[in-house]
Amino acid sequence: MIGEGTKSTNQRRHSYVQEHVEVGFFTDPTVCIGCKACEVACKEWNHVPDDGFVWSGNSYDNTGHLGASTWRHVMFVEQDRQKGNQIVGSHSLGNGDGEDPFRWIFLSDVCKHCEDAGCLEACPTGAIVRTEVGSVLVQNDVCNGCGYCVVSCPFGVIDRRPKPLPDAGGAFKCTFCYDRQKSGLVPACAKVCPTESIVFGRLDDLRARATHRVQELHEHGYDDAQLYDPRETSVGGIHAFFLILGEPEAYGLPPKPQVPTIYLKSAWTAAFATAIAAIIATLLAFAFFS
Amino acid sequence: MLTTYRLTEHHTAGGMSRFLSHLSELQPEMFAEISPELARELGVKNGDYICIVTLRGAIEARALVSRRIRPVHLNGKTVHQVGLPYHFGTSGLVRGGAANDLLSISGEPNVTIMEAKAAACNIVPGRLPRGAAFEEWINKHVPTGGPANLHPEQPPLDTAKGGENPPGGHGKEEKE
Ligand code: SF4
Ligand code: SF4
Repeated sequence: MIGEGTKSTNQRRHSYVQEHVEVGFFTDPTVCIGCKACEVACKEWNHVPDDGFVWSGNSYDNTGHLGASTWRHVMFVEQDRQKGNQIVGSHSLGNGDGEDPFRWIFLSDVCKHCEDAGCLEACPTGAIVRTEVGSVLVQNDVCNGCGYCVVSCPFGVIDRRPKPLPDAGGAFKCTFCYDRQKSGLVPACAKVCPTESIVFGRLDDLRARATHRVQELHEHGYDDAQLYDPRETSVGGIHAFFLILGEPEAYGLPPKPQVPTIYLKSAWTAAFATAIAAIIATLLAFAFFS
Repeated sequence: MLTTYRLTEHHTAGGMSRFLSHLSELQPEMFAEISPELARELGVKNGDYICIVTLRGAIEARALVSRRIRPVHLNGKTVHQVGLPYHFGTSGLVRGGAANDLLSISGEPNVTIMEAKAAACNIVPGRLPRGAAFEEWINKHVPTGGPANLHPEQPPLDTAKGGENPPGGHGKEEKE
């Protein structure tokens, strides 16, 4: 059976914000049906405008990537590989004898709400804050649209909204439905997900659930199932983590995400050394030509 | 063979969903799914415009080439499948060729909804000509060789009133 129905943490009221409980999303593509209900529910609840009507020709993915007006993005990945214990057909022309594996994977991508968040560290105005539940929130009435966060996100999530969309200029991303959570509601995307591919709940519970799910999949022949939860890099763990089949690169996820601020020390050292060298060069130039 | 089907993003012919921006942006254009084998045969690339022609009409769509669509082998013959979402039409935020234009009207009497979901078709790479050029074009490309495409109420072609519409119109009793 898929999911736990009304008993699921996706459908229950909670008081995580009041109790300061770390929450998260666990997203499992092996049960996702690619319905994009999460994308639509997110836009409906958060009044996110449409992102243009452009047909991509890339499977059923006309969303493309996360951005200022796309806070959930369902990826459609087509691969010439076997999925679990799937029976492999050999119907393709010119390949009548050999096996001909093929799989279509859907994965709903979202802001990762990093433990050490690049956007939060780069924000000079204090518009980006950490909430009681561990999520990263942009306060749009404080954001001045400088764009430092955009280049500092290791996952390319946050972006400024272009004209002529409403609130153009400000930086936007998933809010983890902080407004809903404060009132004991579940984030809109998890609430509508019909297969519980997106599970919302306590981070520790979700990590246990995810480990169990990977084991279960391994037993069912999904040899390449693994968790994408980078905790050993400078990002220090993410609140929205994923189960993936195969390599993270196929889903546009960096295998070793790093917070750009770890390069601050070397960057300042290099800048300082360059400045000293420039001064010496200028003085030498004067010494020679005067 | 073409077959028509639904996408999760749209509702029936799109009369409700193609007027909503949050759904229209997710499937903004009419496409036809074809196999890489058929694409190679036609010299078509992913995203190219193709025209789908049947005895009833012709529409244009973008080619979506995917291994999800596979040719089938029937009695030693290769039959290619063409997948067409039937959600598009002439008004709304996003518009496109209506797949139902390609099918004969045949109502399923119990549920009173279109019964036809598949038909033989031709695929012609390129855009669909408009205006006067269209008639010449479709006569050239319409599939041939099949049985006459008559409504069940029309008398067969080899009878006296062959192919004529029944008096009083379809589905009505003939008045004395
Ligand atoms: S948590 Fe809320 S804002 Fe974030 S993706 Fe889900 S619905 Fe959108
Ligand atoms: S709502 Fe759930 S099943 Fe539907 S696309 Fe989103 S993650 Fe997948």
